[in-house]
Amino acid sequence: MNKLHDDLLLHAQSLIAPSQGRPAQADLRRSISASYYSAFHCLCYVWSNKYSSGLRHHLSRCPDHLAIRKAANKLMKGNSGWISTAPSDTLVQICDDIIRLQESRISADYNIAMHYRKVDAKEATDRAQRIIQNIQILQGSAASTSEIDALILESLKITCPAR
Amino acid sequence: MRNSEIIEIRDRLVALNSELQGGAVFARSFYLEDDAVFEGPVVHIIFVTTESEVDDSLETLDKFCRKANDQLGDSVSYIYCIYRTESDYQADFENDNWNTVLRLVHEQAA
Repeated sequence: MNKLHDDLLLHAQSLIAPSQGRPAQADLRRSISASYYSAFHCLCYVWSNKYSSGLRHHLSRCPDHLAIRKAANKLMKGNSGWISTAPSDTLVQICDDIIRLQESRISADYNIAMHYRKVDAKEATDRAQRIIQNIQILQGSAASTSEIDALILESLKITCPAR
Repeated sequence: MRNSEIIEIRDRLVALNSELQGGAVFARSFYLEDDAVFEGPVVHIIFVTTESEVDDSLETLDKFCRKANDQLGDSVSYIYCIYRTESDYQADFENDNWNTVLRLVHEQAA
């Protein structure tokens, strides 16, 4: 069974490639939104998957959008107490993509003045895909796992106690 | 945002366009918003491509936004970039929704 974030990414991609004609504005907007939620749920999945299956659905919604934005901004600037070294390029890329994707999603959902084009939705799906890939890359490296943990902890508003 | 800050952003985008001269992409206009998380203004730059299609690879899109960041980085808290062909720009941004919001990088002569 696909994970929710994989399904959401596939959904986002399918909305910009209709079987006939050009995608409608609603499809482009929903695609951008689904791309963001794909990345958001990937992060929630990584966090909740640390716990037993009975707890996961309770925990998966703990990070919130504003906190993720703040966390990404903090980590990009190397201002998190959870990381003692400079953030890796991969982490910086994840954070930058999350911030850009969240901004796109807010605009796609609420800015009715904006007329969307396929290039906007394609950018969003590509960013979501890159975020998911980069999270997997960091998770695959023991040395880098702590960077994803730091992003999650900051997204949960848990600051590092003074060392 | 103060007028002097807007002028500074415009000047820096003019410098960016000089840097991009000869290429297929340039900064046409921008708009500013306050952002509570970043504790300062963020700028949205609309780039126009002279090609019939925008090269939509992330590598290309990020390259121009990075160049804009190199020029403007210390004037704003964050930079977002939007890409349009010339005809799509006219259709999407040269209308009443945007006339009072957008600022042209190169102001037209009166």
